[in-house]
Amino acid sequence: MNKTIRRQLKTAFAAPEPQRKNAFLRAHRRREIGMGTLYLIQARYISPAAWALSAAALFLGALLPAGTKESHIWTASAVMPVLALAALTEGHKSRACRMTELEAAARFSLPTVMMARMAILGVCHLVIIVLLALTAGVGFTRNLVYLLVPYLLTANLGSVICRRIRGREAVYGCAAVSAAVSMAGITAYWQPELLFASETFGCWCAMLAAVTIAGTANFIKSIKEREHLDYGTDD
Amino acid sequence: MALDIDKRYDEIYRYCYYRLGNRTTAEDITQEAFLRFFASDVPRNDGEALRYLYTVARNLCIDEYRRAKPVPLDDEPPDPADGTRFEERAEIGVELRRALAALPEEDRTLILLRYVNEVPVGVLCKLNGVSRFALYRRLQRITKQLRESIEE
Repeated sequence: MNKTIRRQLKTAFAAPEPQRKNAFLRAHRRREIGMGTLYLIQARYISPAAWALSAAALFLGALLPAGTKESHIWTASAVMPVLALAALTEGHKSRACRMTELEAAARFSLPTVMMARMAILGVCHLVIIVLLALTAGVGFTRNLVYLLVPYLLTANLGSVICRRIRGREAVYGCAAVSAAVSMAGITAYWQPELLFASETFGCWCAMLAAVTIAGTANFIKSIKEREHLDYGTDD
Repeated sequence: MALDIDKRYDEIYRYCYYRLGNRTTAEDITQEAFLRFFASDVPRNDGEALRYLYTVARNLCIDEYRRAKPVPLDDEPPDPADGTRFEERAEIGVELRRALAALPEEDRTLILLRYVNEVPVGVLCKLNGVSRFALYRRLQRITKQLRESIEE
């Protein structure tokens, strides 16, 4: 249907202004809770393990690095998968605890609650990443790229695992992926020229673009899957 | 929380108005649908909430059809806005008016829901109890019919 007909249809079906709308909305708006209140409530339900993992990542990344200032970024980069693991386990909690069906039937739908929790953890992790990028020694932009790539790579691979494997086994899979990405970062501690040389920075930028695009697609897919949750297939 | 009540109020009201042709009754039914929605435990995501609201509104409109028509008060002037359906509206194309008037009531309601209220296809499928494929085919048939009527 072309745009002109659509526009004409809107005119054709225009109804007279409702007369009691404002009074009704004023009387009943209080029944709906706002976005801020929902986020505050959901922050309390994020598991202590997720906060503990995030705090551990900050501690390991910022306080434990040994050696030169440059080695700081390698340590922080190797710790990023742990941070991503915190977000992944939180995102997969309802499935791992087999509570998906119950949560999907609750007053606030599962996708809304998940979006709120992921937004809280995401902002918290972004603050940690920026803090670590500020304290390391190869320049803020390069630091940020070196930190974001392992984080987003782990988050991507982990979310694919969470979609394909049901139950608690998916968490073990995410932990394995996190450990593998972290190990790759740790090897750079002994051979920094292999991964963190300035000549390879272009490759890192390309990887960041790729994992960002893949991450966005993955996230949208996960949310859509939860929206169209089929109770019969989810355990 | 996720539902934009301000916007949805207008859409449900428009839907009721075009089913009943009376501003006051349409607004009563709109408010009743929202009151039932507030009192229910329907998940607050847009899709489920919309489906619930349209289902309640549709059922209330059907109840209203069945109810005996009240006798209007003599001293109350008729509302000039009532009854101005698309057949009488001068600002839209004559062809479109004729084409819409030629459509069956059910198809006209579907056009209103999909292209005016912009109800998502998934919600419309659940509302009508049909598959996406069936809905697309029906919409295609109606739009083709509309186009042909306009071109004649």
